[in-house]
Amino acid sequence: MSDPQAKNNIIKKKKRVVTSDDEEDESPINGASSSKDILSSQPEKQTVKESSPPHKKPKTSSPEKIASIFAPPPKKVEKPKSSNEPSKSSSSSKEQEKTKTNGKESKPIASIFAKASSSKSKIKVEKEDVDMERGSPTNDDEGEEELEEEDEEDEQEEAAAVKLASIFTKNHKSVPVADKGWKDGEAVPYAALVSTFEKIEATTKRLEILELLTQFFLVVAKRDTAKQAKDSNLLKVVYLCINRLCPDYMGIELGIGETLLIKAIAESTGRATTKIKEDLRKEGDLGKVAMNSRNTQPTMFKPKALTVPYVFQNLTEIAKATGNASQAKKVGIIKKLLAACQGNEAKFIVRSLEGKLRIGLADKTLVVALAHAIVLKGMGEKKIPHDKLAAKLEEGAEIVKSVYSELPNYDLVIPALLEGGVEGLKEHCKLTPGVPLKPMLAKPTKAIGEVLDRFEGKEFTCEYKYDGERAQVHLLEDGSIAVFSRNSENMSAKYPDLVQQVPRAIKPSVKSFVIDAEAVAYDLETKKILPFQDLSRRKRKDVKAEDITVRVHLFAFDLLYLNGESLLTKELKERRALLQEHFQPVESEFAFAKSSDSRATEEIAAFLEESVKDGCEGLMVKMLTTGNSTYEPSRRSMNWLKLKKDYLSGVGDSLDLVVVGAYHGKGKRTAVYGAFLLACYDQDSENFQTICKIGTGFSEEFLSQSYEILKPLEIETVRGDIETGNAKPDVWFEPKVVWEVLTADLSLSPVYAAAHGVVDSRGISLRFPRFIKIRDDKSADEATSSEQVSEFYQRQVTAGGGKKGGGGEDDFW
Amino acid sequence: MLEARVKQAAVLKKLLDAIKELVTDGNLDCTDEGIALQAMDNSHVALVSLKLVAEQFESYRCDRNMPLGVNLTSLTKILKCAKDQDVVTLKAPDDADSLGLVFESPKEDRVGEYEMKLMDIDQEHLGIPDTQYDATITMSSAEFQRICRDLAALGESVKIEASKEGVRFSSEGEVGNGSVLLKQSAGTDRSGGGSSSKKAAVKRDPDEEDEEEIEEDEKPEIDDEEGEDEQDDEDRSKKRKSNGKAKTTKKAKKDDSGSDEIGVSIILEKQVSLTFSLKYLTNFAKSAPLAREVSLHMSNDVPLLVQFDFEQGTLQFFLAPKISDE
Repeated sequence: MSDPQAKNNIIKKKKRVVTSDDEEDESPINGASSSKDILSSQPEKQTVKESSPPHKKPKTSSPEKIASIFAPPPKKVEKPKSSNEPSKSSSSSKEQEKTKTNGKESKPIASIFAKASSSKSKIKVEKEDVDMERGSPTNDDEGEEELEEEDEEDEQEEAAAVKLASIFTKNHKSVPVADKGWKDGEAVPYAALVSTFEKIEATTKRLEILELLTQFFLVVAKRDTAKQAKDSNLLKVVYLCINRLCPDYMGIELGIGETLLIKAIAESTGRATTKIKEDLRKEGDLGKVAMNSRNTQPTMFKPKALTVPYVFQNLTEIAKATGNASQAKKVGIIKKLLAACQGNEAKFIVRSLEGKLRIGLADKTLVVALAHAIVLKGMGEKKIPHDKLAAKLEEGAEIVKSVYSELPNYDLVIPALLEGGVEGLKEHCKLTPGVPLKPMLAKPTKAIGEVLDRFEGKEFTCEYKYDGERAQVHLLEDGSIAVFSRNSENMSAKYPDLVQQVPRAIKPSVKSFVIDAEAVAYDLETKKILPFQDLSRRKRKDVKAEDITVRVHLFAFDLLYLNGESLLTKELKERRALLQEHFQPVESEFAFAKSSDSRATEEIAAFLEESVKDGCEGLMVKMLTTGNSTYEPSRRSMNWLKLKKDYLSGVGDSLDLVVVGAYHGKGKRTAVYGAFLLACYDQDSENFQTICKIGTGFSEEFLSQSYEILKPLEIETVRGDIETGNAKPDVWFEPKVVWEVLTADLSLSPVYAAAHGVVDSRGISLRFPRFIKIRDDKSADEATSSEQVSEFYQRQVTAGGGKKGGGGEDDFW
Repeated sequence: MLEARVKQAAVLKKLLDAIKELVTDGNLDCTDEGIALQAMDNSHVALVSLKLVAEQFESYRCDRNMPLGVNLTSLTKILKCAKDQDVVTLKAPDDADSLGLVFESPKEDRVGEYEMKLMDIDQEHLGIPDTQYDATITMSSAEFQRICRDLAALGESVKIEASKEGVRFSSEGEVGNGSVLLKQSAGTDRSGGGSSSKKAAVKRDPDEEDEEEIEEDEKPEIDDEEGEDEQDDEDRSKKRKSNGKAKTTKKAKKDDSGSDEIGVSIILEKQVSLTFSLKYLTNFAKSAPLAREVSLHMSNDVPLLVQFDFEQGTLQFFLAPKISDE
């Protein structure tokens, strides 16, 4: 019964803390760079760049090193490590030293009674071989920075296609075929995915990420023999890459609370929760903490190596666990996963659980990588000239991108891809009512002039930009109605009244549809639109139609699908005509967005004025005809422009506010404050009242500077003269430092205390605060007063006809 | 098929109470030798191994080896339906998808029949290496439970040191620290308890004599533990002292409580000092009602073995030691 090797090992089972000496030392990327981070408190990015040769191989620990008390020693029996290797992790300086040597192989997982898992080490080695063969062609000349403009990205993708094509034509034979980490039809080892994650994390170059991911997907796709979506390895790999478990609208999400994760890590590693919290403050990443924690409590038999389907299944179980004792159940599953982790797997397991992978992988890159992998797979062993391959790759990417934006559901897209490749995809996967598509977005503009420049001589229309929530309403063939948010969440439960109202606006000719609309809070008595914040005050769950006090009015502006036919490629003019033809306005419930097709500057200006008066945020200006007026899902297109009051010059108030608290930074901002809590000064009570949290607009340099300045001001408990509201920063300061801050506008907030009781029982808060400069010349009690704040708010209310509100949604719209 | 009769439901209940905290699902491996269960906790830090010997059942029949995958929480729930004195019959046909449980009252005037769904558990059998332990401590299980409970109030882990002096359990935490020293109690209760304690008692005798009477004999042993010379001398003298004391108190006690008292016996090849998570130990100690005695087997850097021998079989817990955090 007992494995003979193991037996024989009993005698020499020193606490074999993993041999740290061999072969790991040269790898600069993984553990080393991250531990450097801690020391220098420099942004990770930089470190990576500095040390990054064009291609890097993050070494993950090879499992032979995983020590186990009863298992055969990893070749080096003679290793003279003292059995009482002192302090593995906790103490700070020591630990950093250690991470350098030890960290790469990530942590000694001493597994008592362990069995040698040989299969896994193979994978790693082979994977590395693969990139040696193919990694090098990537140069650093491109993709250095993340480019935001669509067009440039497209160019990049083109370049990527060309480059990939060259890679795959050059040494086509030696390409991933060499990788034998697992066999056809077998489950993908989680370690293979993690090593890909590591490589992606180690670079900031989009092209490199794309290439890495393409290679990995290609290998996975080639070996994916699943006939059914639910068995598909590729599908699960893709979901784990985007850290989801299903399409967004199905609502199964990860995002386990930090406390629960810390508890699970503590229990599975045998460390005290306080130590883990301490490490977390130092590291700023629970994933890394988990990875480095795994050493005070060795395990008995090492569990089987994790596979992608196994991880996926367990993550799903965690996400679905509800009700009585679900916490304990979740912790149990997490412990099970963590116990089976080897090398840096724990890092990504924990990050997945947290709901953020933090490897800098954009969804868009993933779609392209998927497309490329499928094209390459379809090619098989055929040799194709370089330029043709590039063209094919690019074409494939376009197809998959457009299909995915119409039908953002990998459950449907990936099986279709595996079966029919890229060519047949468009026939198989189409816009389907019930599957929300990503809404088309608009570009902000600053002035009417800019709008006219863009639309000069074209047919265009201006529509009211209602201040509400974007809503995509679907009528399925079976007669059921679903409402989806801008982020494709199913909001039918939040808006049961909408579900009841919509049918009254439909004419009998309609069997199925998808409309794009804005849901706005509405006052039945005054027949006026209410500010967005009234809408956001509605309960989010279990809303019963009869309990609703805030009515919802739907303003429809686009029709994407009608009676079994997708209208995306039709001109806006035609879509709008169909919309008006098949739907009818219902008073106080449903209307078409108010629009004007005039071209004159003055008329647009007047229309804008009018829209603001009517309680709207401004105007949407849209191309009406030609190929530029099609509906482009998820695109922020130049064909839709938003003209918002905020963006027009002269609006936006600057305030001088006192820094009273801060939040610990995470990730790049570890070791400095990541965000700050600001307050205004109430002269009557001589108290400081919290007004907003600010976390954007800071340079790294500024953050470390302000850390220097503010650190000495840290106080144990909040000072009595600070009215905190419900804000809970990680640290409090003595109110001293004053900053000038610009804001888009002000809103009422239950969290902050500024001027509470003056306008409303709630306080006033800033929306989109932006840091301008430090006001050295002002002392804390010279800060903007609560009185001024409430004046700003009052003025805004009267100017905007009662509009304006909280929430951050409309930044995009 | 399987058909096994257990005299008292209470035994099964106690067993499950101890195991279910640690393990949620497990395979009951039924063979003609008896029923065994082996499982690890989620974190793979502890391992439970239960053996119920065929001969000790009231009746036992198992034609073919079969694993019965059970959810221990469900099994506990069903067993709650039995009274402590009930006779339990476990029944499963070949390729069963459920396990039948029959509870009969001792007077046979009440019969309860239950069925529990089985599950497929993919579990490999883990070979636990046979280990020669450096220290074996036998003590009252109630005392063990008490120590675990007391020290758990102080800290998260306990250090167990076995030396000639006795066995010391110590723990520290934010509140402070504490330790309990159990001294070897010579000559107590040699006849009581299960078979293992008898063995222990037999083995113990020469050891004791070595210590107390023929001190020279100790020397070779010390030579084995290289490089502890001076300290060891000190230790030894201390040991001698404490041994003397222990003996006297022991004797006094013995007179008081008679043979009911379960003493502490230590068989020591080598000094051992290991640290364990108290959370797990407290869980193990829940098995105390099963047996009056518990034995702890330790060697440095090897999992601790906590063994309860009871009439029906043995229950073993293995626990991986902690590596010190500081």
